[in-house]
Order: sequence, then C-alpha cells, then structure tokens
Amino acid sequence: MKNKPINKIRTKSFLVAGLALLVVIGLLVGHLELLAAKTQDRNNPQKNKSLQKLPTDESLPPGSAKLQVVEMISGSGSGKKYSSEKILVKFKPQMSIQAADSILKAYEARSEKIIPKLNVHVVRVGNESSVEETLSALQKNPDVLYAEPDYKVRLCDTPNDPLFSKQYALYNPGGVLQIPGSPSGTARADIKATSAWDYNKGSENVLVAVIDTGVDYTHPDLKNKVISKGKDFANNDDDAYDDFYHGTHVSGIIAAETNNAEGVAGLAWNCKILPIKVITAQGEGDYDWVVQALMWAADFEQNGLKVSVINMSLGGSDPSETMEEALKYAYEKGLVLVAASGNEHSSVLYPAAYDQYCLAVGASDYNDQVASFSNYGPEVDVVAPGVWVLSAYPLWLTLPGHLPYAYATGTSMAAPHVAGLAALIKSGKPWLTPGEIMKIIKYTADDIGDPGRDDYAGYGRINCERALKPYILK
Amino acid sequence: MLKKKITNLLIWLAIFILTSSGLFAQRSLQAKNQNWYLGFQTNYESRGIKAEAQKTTLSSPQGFLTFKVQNLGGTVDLAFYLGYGTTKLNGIMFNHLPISLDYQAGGRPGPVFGLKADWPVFSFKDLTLGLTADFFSYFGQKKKFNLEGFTEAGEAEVKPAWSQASSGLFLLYEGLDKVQPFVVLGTSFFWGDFKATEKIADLSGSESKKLKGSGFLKLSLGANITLVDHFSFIPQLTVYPASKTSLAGGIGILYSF
Repeated sequence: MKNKPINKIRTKSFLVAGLALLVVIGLLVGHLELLAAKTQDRNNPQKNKSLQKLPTDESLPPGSAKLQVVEMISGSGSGKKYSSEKILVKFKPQMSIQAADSILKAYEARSEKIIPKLNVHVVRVGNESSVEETLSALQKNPDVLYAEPDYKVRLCDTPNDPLFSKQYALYNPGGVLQIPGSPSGTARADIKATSAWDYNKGSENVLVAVIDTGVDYTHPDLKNKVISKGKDFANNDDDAYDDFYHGTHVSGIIAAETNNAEGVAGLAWNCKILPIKVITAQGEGDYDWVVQALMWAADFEQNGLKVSVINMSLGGSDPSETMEEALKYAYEKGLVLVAASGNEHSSVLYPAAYDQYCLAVGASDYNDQVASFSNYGPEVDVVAPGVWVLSAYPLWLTLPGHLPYAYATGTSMAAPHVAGLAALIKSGKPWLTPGEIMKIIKYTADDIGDPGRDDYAGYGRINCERALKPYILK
Repeated sequence: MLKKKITNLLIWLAIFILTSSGLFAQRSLQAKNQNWYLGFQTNYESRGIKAEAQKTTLSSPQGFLTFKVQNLGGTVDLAFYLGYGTTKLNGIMFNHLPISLDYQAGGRPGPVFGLKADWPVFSFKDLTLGLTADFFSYFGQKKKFNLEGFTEAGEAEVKPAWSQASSGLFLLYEGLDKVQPFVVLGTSFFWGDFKATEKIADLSGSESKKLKGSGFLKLSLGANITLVDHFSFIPQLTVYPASKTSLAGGIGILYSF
C-alpha cells in the first residue's frame, strides 16, 4: 500500500490571488463523520456514544446477530417483459391433449409441459414465429380458453451485497433504519434504485471520473471497477491513490461492485471509475488542480473508453473564470458534470454554482427532508440522500476487526448518487447530450419541500426509476 | 414521408399504365358494357409487422365509400376507396426519446384512401385470368397525451401512418348464375411509420419508428354475389401464409347504375 507525502503544497502561478487558496472543504470536514473511530476513542464510553461503529455484526440490532447474505436471483435488466420463446396456453376443458397438440402444431408450436391441476400448457413457439404472432393467432382460436405471454418475474434486482439493507438511500424500507442513531425513516424516501435497476444497471462503456481525494483501488468493492490508477494533480504523478478517504467513499456510492456478496451496492452496477486526485491528505486543494483535472478527464481515452460523467464532491466559495472555462470545455465535449452544493447552509459553492454546465446537488435525509446543512440558492438543481450514507472506506484506514465501510454525511455523499444516475442514463442512451441528461434528472425528480422548484431542494429528490422507466401512454 | 408516399404512388401508377397498355393487345375477352358502381365496404386488417427490432401486430378496422368503374376503356376495372379507419399499434416502444415512451393507447383513427385495378387478360369458357393491383394509404390523426408525474408540465404526441400495395393474379369463375367466386394470389408490401414526439419544459425529442409488414405472399378468396338486380355482395378473406397473425377480411355491397 502506498502512503504519500502529506504536505506537498504547490504554488500555482496562474491562479488569481483571491482564488489561490483553497478549495473545498467544508464539504470534506463539515458534516462528515466517520465511523472508523481512532483506537483511543474506543476506551472512552461517553465519546463512543456519539461515534458510530463500523457496520460489523456487533452493531446490528437485537435479533439479527449476523448479516445475512440473501441469495437473490438478479433479473435480466433487459426490460423484456416476457419470454421470447414460451407462452402459456389453456385450452377449453373438452379438448384432449392430442387435439391441443395438433392445434399447437398448426402454429408450429409445441407443448413442453402441462402444469398439473391448472392444465395450462407451457408452449414453445416455432423458430420461424414470434411470441406475439403465435399469441395473436392462438387468442383467435375458438378452442383456446386463453393464451398469454410467459411474463418474467423479478425481485426488483435487490443485490446480495450484505450491507445493502443499511443503504436506505437506495431502498428505504421505512421504520427504524440500520444507520447510526437508528432513526425512523419514511418508507420509499429513497432514490428508487431497486426498481430502476430493472431497466438499467449501467454499462461497462460508461466511465465516471471522480475528481476528489483519489480512490483506494485495492478496496474489495472497487478494485474491479477502477480502470487505472488515474491522475494525481495534488502530488503531480500518475497514481491517484486515496490518502484521505473521501474519494473512496464517493466512488463506492457511484459504482461499488454490486451483487458480489460483499460490502455495499453501488448505484451504477456496471459502470467504471476513473480516479483523479486534487485534494491532499489534509483535505485541501487548489482550483488549478480541479481545472487541470477537468481538462484531463475531458480528453481522457483508454482503449476507446472515454469519460461520460464527472463527479465533484468538492467546492470553493469563489467564482473563477478559469474553472468556468474548464467546465464549459468538458460539457461541450459531452460530459455530464455533477457537483456538491456544499455543507454550510449558505450559498452554493463553485463549481456547482455554474448552473449552465453543472448539476448542483444538495442533500436530503431518510425522511425526504432537505438536510439542515445543505447549501441553497437558485443554482440548486436536485437533492439526493446525503445523511448517514454507507459506502467504501480505504483499507489502510480501516481499524482491525472492522469492515472497510463507513457512514458519512454531506452533500459530498449526495452528489455521487446523481452522478450514478447520470451514468445509468448515459448507459441506456449514449446519444443524449449532457444538457438532456441534466434535464431528465431534474424533471423526473420527486418534488419534496415546497411545491415546485425551490432553492433548497431544487426540483426535488432524484427518482432513478422515473428517469429510466418508459412512460406508458394509455 | 409524404414525398415517399407520392413516389410509391407514382410507381404503382406507372406499373398500372404500362401493364394495361401491354395487355390490351392480348386481351381476348368478349366485349362488355361499361358499368358504374357505388357502394360501401368494411375491412378488417390484422398485419404482423416489424417496427425496427420489435415485432407486433397491427390491427385496423376500416370502412369505405366505394366507387367502381367496370370495363373502363374495354380494358380495366377501376375502384376508388375513400374511408376512415383506426390503427392499433400497442406495444411500440420509443426508446430513443429522452424519456422512453411505451405506446399502449389503442387505436388511432384516420382517413384511408385506396385504389384498385383489375385487368382481365385471358378468358377460357367461364374462367377469366387477370392481373390485379391495389394501393391503400392510411393517415392517422395526431393524439396528444399529458405526461404526468414530472416536475415540469409535459406532453407527448403520436401519429401513425402506413401504406400497403399489392399485386397479383386473379382467377374468376363466371359459370354460376348469382355467384362469381374468385381467388387472388399475389404479393403485398406494407410500410409506414409511427412518429412520437415529447416535450417536458425545454426537454424535447422526436422519434419515428419505421414499420414493415411481414409475410409478402398473400392469398385471397372471395365472391361476387348478386343479391338482387343492381345489388351485389362481395365477401373476401385474405391470408398471409408466412405470417400467422396477418389476416384480412372484408365485406362490400355495391349498387350498379
């Protein structure tokens, strides 16, 4: 494991004085509380009360002493509603099996089996016929009581990642939630991820750049998702390893390896991550690193794979023409840009405030309330869960006996949910422009807070299902 | 689309003119009087179609006013159809729009126009062999839908249109007093498009699904049945052997004058 020098501060010549120092940062510190407590804190019972433990078995509520790996069959995700080979047919009671077979034979179909007691034939359609054609023909046959498609069953694509039950952001069951403080949540105050996965789980051809503190690319839930060691603008090298924790947590929310019976689920199951480091181990960074990161990500190409989405869970209080130009460059190259609004309950930070190019994301909680810390203003586009969000945590920071996962709070955790949704949309419809994807995300949100768009929740909490599911005209 | 329809119509008219002039010399039919007909016809068309990667069945009941001239110029029987029909295309998915649309809204009404020509070519005793061609075109009316559940007001609009052109050989038996059965063997081409647009605030898109009929070969059976003087009744059934869901039937009543 690599440990990087910490205080490597670089002076950048071209930044104007007012912008010279520091980006970020309330985001990284403000409301973010890690569960991985330092060893000395463990001996202080009073302090332990306010600290949250890592989600080990011992932190589970009574009656669920162990995390269960529920064996779930993943749905196809193809959107196909019924089998393309089989149909179900019930003949009128007086029809013999031989007569039924000869009717089916006339349509080049054959009965594979008869479901006992129901006397329903499971019929395989002919090679030269479609299910639709055969169904239509059989439905007109007077000897057929009914004929129907053999519809697909689904389990709402609940992944088998053992910590999924603690990810209320993806699926909020309501009641007492398995998150720090065990608060009561509102059922389905979530981003509707499980039902959205029926339509799209993401494509390996969609790459999300995470401009942050780097990524622990050795993490078991990320090692197969990170396509390269990326770029480190904070230390000026080609190894964006995470020496903080923040970028690893953000990346896990976007695209942790999912349905792998390990850890957490990511929103964009199959999408890939490109780490870009612009924040030092102290949680500091310069605008110019962010600008360079944007330009580098916009021009990145590896084996034909280009960046489609950029997540920036960071920000600064001051505007910058250089940053705006870089955002414009990336946007015009077809990248969807997502940024956190900030955690100071004040005006929206930059780059999120560059509304024309960036989706500004605020934080909501498990009751669909806008988080008290979430920055506000006319630039806020949407909100996403950003309170006690569980995700990946760097291995080197994980204490012995703990799992490499942690809860964190902040708009930093909200933005990657939106970046994940952008990646899912891009996966299904790669021809859409960044502007179109931004509008889809805004217009398909669930309006929370004041009716209509407001400066706190924007258009509302994102709804992945509505963004991906076909609208039925009827 | 309109340009394409006009082009197709011109092609069929050219075939019509060329074949009728060529066949005129071969015709060995007895001279017949020129007759005029006016009537009404209903059709039901069920056609297996492909909408790009999707397969579905288009169903379309139609009603026509019919005007027919028999033995025009001693050569051809011409019929014109002007009517109204609906087209049901449930299950068509518009996936290229920003928000995908799944059409499940049933039949869309619209005018249908048609032209049919029969050229009797050769007669032997009571049998007449000839060529036949027809062209029908449907222009579905637009239908608007409010898109609900979005944070901004939205609406979608759909509009189907299709054309069908057929040609083939017919064999007519005129040996019976009141009934003249006929059989037609030919090919039938079906094409069209189903267009959808959507607009949610400043998010908009448009997608046109190309429709293509499956089963080119068709076989029709029917009869001209004289009910009473001046009134004839014409039932007809068409099957498309290569497509199990393609089936068409029609009944016409004509008054001669």
